Amino acid sequence: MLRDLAHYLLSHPSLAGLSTPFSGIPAGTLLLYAFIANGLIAVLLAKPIALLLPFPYRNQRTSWFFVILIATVPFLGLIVAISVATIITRLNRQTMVAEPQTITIPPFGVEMRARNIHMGAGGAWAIIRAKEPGTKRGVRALLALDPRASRQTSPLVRAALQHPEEDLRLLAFGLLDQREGRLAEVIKDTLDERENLPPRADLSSFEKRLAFLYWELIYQDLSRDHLRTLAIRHAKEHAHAAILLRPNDATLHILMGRIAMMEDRNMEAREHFENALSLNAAPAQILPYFAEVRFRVGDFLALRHLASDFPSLLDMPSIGPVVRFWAKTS
Amino acid sequence: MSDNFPKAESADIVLLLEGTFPYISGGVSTWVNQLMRGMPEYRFAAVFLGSRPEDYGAVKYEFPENLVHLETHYLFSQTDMPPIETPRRNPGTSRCLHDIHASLRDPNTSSLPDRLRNIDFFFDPKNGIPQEEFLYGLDSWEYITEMYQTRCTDPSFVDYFWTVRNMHSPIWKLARIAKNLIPGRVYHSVSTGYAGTLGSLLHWHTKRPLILSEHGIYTKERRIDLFNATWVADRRSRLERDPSEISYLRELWIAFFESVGRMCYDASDTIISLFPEAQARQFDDGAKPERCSIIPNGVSIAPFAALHGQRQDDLSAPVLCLLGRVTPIKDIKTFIRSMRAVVNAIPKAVGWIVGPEEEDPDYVAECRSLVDSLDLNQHIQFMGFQRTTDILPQVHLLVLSSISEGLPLVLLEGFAAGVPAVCTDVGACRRLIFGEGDDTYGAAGDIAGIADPKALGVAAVALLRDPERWRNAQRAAIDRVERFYTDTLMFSRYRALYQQAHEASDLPIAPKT
Amino acid sequence: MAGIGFELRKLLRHDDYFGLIRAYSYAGIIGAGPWVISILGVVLLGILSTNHVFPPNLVSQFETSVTYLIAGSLIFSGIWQLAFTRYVSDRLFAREHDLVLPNLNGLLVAAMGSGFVLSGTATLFLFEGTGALYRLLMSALFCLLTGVWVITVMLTGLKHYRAIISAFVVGYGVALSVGLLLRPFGLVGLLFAFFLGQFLLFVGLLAVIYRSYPSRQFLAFDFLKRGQMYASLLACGFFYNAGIWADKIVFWFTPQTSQAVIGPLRASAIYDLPIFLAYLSIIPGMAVFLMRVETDFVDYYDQFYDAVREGGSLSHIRNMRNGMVTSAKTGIFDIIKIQSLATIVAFVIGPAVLRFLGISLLYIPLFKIDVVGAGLQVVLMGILNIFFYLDRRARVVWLTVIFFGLNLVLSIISTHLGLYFYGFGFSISLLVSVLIGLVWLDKDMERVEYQTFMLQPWSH
Repeated sequence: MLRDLAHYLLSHPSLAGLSTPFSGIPAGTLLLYAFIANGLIAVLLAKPIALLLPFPYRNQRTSWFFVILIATVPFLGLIVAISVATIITRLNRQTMVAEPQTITIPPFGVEMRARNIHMGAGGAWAIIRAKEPGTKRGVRALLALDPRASRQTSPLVRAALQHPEEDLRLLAFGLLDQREGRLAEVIKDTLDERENLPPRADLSSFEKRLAFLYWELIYQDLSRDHLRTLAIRHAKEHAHAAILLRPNDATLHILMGRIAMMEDRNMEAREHFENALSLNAAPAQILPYFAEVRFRVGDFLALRHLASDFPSLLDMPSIGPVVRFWAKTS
Repeated sequence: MSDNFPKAESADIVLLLEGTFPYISGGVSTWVNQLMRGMPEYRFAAVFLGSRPEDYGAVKYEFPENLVHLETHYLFSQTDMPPIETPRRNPGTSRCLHDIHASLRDPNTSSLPDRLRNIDFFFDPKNGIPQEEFLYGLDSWEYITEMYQTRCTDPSFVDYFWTVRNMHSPIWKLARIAKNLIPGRVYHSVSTGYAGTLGSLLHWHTKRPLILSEHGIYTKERRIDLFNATWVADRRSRLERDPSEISYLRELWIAFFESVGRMCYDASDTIISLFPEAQARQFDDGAKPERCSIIPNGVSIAPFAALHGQRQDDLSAPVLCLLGRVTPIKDIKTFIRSMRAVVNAIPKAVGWIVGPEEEDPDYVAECRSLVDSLDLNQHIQFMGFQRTTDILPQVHLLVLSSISEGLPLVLLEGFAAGVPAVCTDVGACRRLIFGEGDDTYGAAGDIAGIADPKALGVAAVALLRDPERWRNAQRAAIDRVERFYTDTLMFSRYRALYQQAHEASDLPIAPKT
Repeated sequence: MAGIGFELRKLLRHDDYFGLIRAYSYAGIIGAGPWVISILGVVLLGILSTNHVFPPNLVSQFETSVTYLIAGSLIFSGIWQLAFTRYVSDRLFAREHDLVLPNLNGLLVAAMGSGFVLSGTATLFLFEGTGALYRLLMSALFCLLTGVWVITVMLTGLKHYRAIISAFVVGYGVALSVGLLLRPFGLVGLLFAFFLGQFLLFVGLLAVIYRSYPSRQFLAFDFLKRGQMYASLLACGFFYNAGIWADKIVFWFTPQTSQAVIGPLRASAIYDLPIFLAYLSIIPGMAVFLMRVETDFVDYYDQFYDAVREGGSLSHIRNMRNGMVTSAKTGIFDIIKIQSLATIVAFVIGPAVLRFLGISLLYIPLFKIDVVGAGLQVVLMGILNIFFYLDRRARVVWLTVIFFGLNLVLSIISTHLGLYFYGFGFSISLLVSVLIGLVWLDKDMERVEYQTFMLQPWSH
């Protein structure tokens, strides 16, 4: 059937009928006409076809592509153009999924010499506090504090700002500046990355990351005064945004709870911790905060229940004695 | 070179300037400018050493008449590298590399190895090491890998390699500069480091005297830079890393600047520092005491003394002023926080922050929002760059909250204009405030601890609330600066130095034009 | 603070501090794979149509037309192929995935547009005496093929082998079956079938690109900006393809060895068939090449440059270098071994195959020497590929120029020396290029780290 149709359409009589008007014209001229006609078609159709493109492409200068495609490849170029505009451009995957990275064991160079000197945070602090540590020892002590960026070491490094030795002061200043700078840089990169996402991409992971980054600034005690309130506000905003998109993310609830605790909104904090628990967060991760919140709002009865449900809580140095006290009195 | 700079055949004094005049405005550049203008009888030449052309903006100073020659060189621009090809191998090269480094590493020698004193070493492929050999040579490659294997404790070879390369390649540029430089009777370097290295090369090459003036202590500054530098990679893995150990590459840079400093001290006939603590530091770093002397900065008294008449010293609405670039090193935030305490005690007090703000825009923004959050908008003004003679008559107290200083010129200018100061205890500040030795003028203000806004605020308030004490401080400030820190004093000392050096120099005096 | 030490950081933080070594994969050079399929498809379509088309010389007209199209579009698009693949690799290395698609579209506009200028002019003025529809199809096919090669080489460079092979199989399958259907319409019918196949291939390849490299931008011409593509790669892309076709073109346009077929197109009945058949013998060599170079060698290569870039220790870097050298050597020797075997087999069964296909046994000596040459071509491809990996672009330019020049000159000489020397031009030029390549490779391999570190260009 199809074959017959094709046969007819391409048969000499049919083609001859089509080509009668052109019969007298030399092939070269005819070809020129064909090129021109096809070029005109290309110019006329490129714009309408470009309108078929998916939304983000629509306002760009896309017609060139279609003009060239249709003009250089007669007949089928038109089909290529239409299929590009309608189907092929819509094939792309929504967003790139971050690939999991595996960490391999680092190759150790045989060149490396063995070393054995170590210094804990306490030792480092003792050296810095000594009146005359000597620049070299002092520098080593400060550098030993540095990689342990945490809540405890930031104040120590900050205290070294007052050290009589100028080298140490400057180094301490630089170290604090760097810690904050590193986080600020990651935050900036993340914000940029979020800006450049394709439309309708999933933003929740970015919001979550940002919330935790701002939290890190607070946690490491790197922002002070108003900068601290600013960081808390940012952390809160991003955590809110993230939790709207991922209502079942227990870690986000914990974060929200801790932010609320920091701002003394204890009832709200308790709610978040309860949510986190119900979402199967590891109890050991939450209980200390949970207990503290209950303690703060004066819900000692609940605290006692908590203690009997999770006896490990009694091992916590800050809460254990309180719980034991209340357990005794009732 | 984009040169409409002055050019001459020879000069009396050749200034070697690293990253300062005429492209960077700041204490040292101002001092250089002041020195040339103060000694019109000498014809100066200046060599500016920069990192890359794109790191510098426009020329910031109008050239003095007696700056007869200026050339600029960029040590880290990679435009004029020799073409990349493997140079012919020379049997002596490997031996030569080993010998030179062995003598450089020997802690007992502080002077430039003899072979390097001949400038041809850096150009002669037979008996020396030309730049092509260092960059592309097989012997250099073998030497670098050997050193990495025997000495480096940081596993990253690529970082080691580029550290070595970046560290060494300016040396050949310096040698080329030294070879082509116009003759001068005396060389005067304003820091150690690369400028000082150029100075030593010139000194050994021409056998003419070298004077070294240090405003900061270069080696110390580099050490701090390097401790804080994030760009020096530390690729030791977690397991390999001892956190208290400084990464080898940092140590390499530090050792490089230290030995460069030692060699520069060794080549210098005279080593000048600004105040005794800085001098002590030079001794520590290897300067021979008999060559060292102290010449403090000085200011021109007249323009500031003329301001005394404009002053209205009404301490009920005092103006506290911080003069300096808005950068972390000046610790502007501590000043802002201390203003909170000042305003609490003296509600009409106003704080001015006067200085260029383009260097670190992020820091400026942070400072401004700190002002907001401390609710000090009515009390603190960022004034941008201003002429000190316009500002000082209106100021009642200078505040310097810096973390590091040498002998700050702004303090001297303030003193000359009759403004007492409260400073952090850095550099020569204590000496400037309280005097020392035969200086019995008394306190010209007060000193507070570093990064301690409360103490700074308390000191300022105490001074401003006690007109009697304030007036004494003003008197002491004016007397001290007019007695010990005038530019005429500084010029006369340098003039004597130059005179002495000229007599030691073999170059005949060029006819005056 | 005085001193320039402070500003050193700007120097080292410079982005291409060590981005210089980003010689990525140039498996693109094995773009030969797809064109073997092409030749095979065309020969098959021709053979299957032989007894169904009237007049019979239409088949040779079709084969010749398509061969010219393939040769012409390969040489023309060769200019872009490698340089653009490298441009894309660099973008991927810099994690600028979203620049791939718009620039590919830009390249298609540039390549197909300029190709049309060429093909339009040629069909308008050179094809005296042929029909308008034929000329229109030729022009359209030239542009379409240019587009197909560009995308193919880019995808091979990015190692989407499976997608390419399936697109080619579908494209040529459709061309073949539609061709059988359209046989009654003669030359135009066959060409149209080929056109349809290429169209499907093009759409399929485009789909792979859009799917793998999504972007918010549609069209860009960043690659045309100064310094974005390497002039050396533009040159060697051209010379490589021109070199492959030089001997054939010589034989097509030497009057004693060729006949006019259609319009200005000439074919060499003596030379063409043996050499195309000989190309079939390179399939095992290609397979080994892919296996060895693209797996063992690349493993070590990646580890070597990772160690360099990410700050590995020198001993680790050297170990990886040694692994790279060993795998490169075994890879090339394996290609030589398997290709020798294939040559022997071709020698043995060649006559039988020719007889089966009804081809005169006079072709046998030529066929044998062509088999040797084709085998050497695989080895040359392997060597070029390793040079690409090592980013020794100057070496590649010289090798391809040598190959092109020798092939051109020796082939012209061989046409004068007579029948028994046909094919020697091709094989000897390859032999010489391969030997030079091996010597250079040996020298470079020993000094890979020295060259990587010490002979680094200063500005990128």
